[in-house]
Amino acid sequence: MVRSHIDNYLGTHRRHSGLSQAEVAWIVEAEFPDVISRIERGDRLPTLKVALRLEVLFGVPVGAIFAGTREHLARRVEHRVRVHYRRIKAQPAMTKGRRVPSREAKLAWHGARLSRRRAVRS
Amino acid sequence: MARCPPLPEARCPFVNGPYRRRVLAVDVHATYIGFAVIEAPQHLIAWGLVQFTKHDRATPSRAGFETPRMIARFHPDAVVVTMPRNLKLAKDRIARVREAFTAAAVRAKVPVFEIGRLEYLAVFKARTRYGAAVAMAERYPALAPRLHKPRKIWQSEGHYASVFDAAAAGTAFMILKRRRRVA
Repeated sequence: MVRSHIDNYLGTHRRHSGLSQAEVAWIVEAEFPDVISRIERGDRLPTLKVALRLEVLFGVPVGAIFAGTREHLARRVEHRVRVHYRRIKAQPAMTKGRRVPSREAKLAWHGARLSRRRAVRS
Repeated sequence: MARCPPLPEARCPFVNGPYRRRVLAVDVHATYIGFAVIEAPQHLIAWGLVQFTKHDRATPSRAGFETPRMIARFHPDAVVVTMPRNLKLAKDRIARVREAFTAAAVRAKVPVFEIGRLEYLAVFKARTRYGAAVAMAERYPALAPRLHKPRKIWQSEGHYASVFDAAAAGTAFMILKRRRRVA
């Protein structure tokens, strides 16, 4: 499947801003100076704090900076959501003569999520 | 943040063609490769030099080693290689590096195109490589700080000029409707 984004655009944003890797590492308080280099190469992912600091630094959402990674993870999450929905739907609606409230809540949540996605696509 | 300004032209054949998103353009030399990654419509994503030592006899295999890394990192839809003005006169070493690069791209199942220097100079209406470099510096402001001075006849070409050549080739590839596929 053709990937529409590269793993991360951190190098792109950094070079467009004119900052060096060492300067970005200092600004985002990375634990080691070479962390930014490894993140740009895709050898490692940033911690949550570093990712959020990068978002603040460049004014771009984390999901846009790491667009390719996000795209890959989104496909996996969507697949698992569908599997989860099938499992919930396969569960019995009644147990020992009583309705299963958590099942209904989960099915309602899935329905609302699907409606939101259709609204976004349309 | 300074973003690459899109072209004023609305039509971009690359976007409507089978290769939609990203081009890896390379300018191959004997001891270094200048590369530029351009994403549709016309955003400069990455650029730089991959250098080999002058005494590195394994240069072609090094090129074959670096190419899969670049393709794995940037996931291009197409690879564009600049073609020297006279392929017959091109040094054997350059030809071997180009072949190694092309073979590695073919193994990665990425189509390879070639574009001649005169073609991309014509796109930007430049007479010399420096003219094309100036056009690239205007189109992609991030490249402007690295724009070199015009070369005097007794001076050798700076290595970083190949980055501008690669950017020009990639941008021209997106604009041109006719493309020569090599592999």
